[in-house]
Amino acid sequence: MKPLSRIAEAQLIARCVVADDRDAFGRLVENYQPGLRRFLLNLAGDADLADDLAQDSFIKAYLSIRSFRGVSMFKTWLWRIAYNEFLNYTRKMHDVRADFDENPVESDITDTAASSEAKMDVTTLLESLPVNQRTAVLLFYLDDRPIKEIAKIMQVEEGTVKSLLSRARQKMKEID
Amino acid sequence: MTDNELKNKLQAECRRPADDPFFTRKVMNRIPERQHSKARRVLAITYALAALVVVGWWIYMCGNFDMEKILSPTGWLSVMAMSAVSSVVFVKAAKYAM
Repeated sequence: MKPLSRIAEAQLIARCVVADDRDAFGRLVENYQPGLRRFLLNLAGDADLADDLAQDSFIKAYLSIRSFRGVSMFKTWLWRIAYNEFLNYTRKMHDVRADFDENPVESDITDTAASSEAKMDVTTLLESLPVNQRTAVLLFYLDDRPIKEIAKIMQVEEGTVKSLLSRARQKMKEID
Repeated sequence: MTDNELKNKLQAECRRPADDPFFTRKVMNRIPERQHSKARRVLAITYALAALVVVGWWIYMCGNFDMEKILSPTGWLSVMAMSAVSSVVFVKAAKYAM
């Protein structure tokens, strides 16, 4: 599918805001669903969960599209909703990996890697990172987003994103 | 591993979701019932009024039917133009009425 131009995207958003146009929103979903599902799949690690979160994110975006002011790009705004949906889910499930700075899995994985010398695949590598580092890595390396945009999605300072990436790189180098 | 190597590795090896041709439909089916916003109501009323004007024009045309006028170039053009305008107005009026 051909990606939408900024003007076409703005027209579709305007149609959603002014006339509650569902066809227009359907086109936005069609355009962004592959990227959003991929981001959530690699963040959550489970295809069904990723699809559920992606659906919830789109519905939330539709319901609150009137609050979209166009200060950031629609894609950035949508990804921020998806990231928040994922965080809410992990908090709700009391997932141990939702802990930001303390990742109990981290030490185990480093030990395992050191002892077994087995190369880990990308999925395992990502799963070994805390959620915030994993998010920064996915947005920076997989989605090719600038630091400024990542900071907006994660609602943190740009310096924090740089530090998260640096720590993630360090960890991945140790493991790889 | 350099930044570029890491980027290439992630882009090549990260998981990709399976294609789901019904994903958009699933999302659209889950969207709650349409909320009639003020702007939408204004548009609905505008198109309804335009539809009334168009209907009035067609009634007038049928009441004053003159084959010679209609077959003249200007008459033929105005009938074609009004047909196009009528289609657009009726489609939009029906869409906003739903």
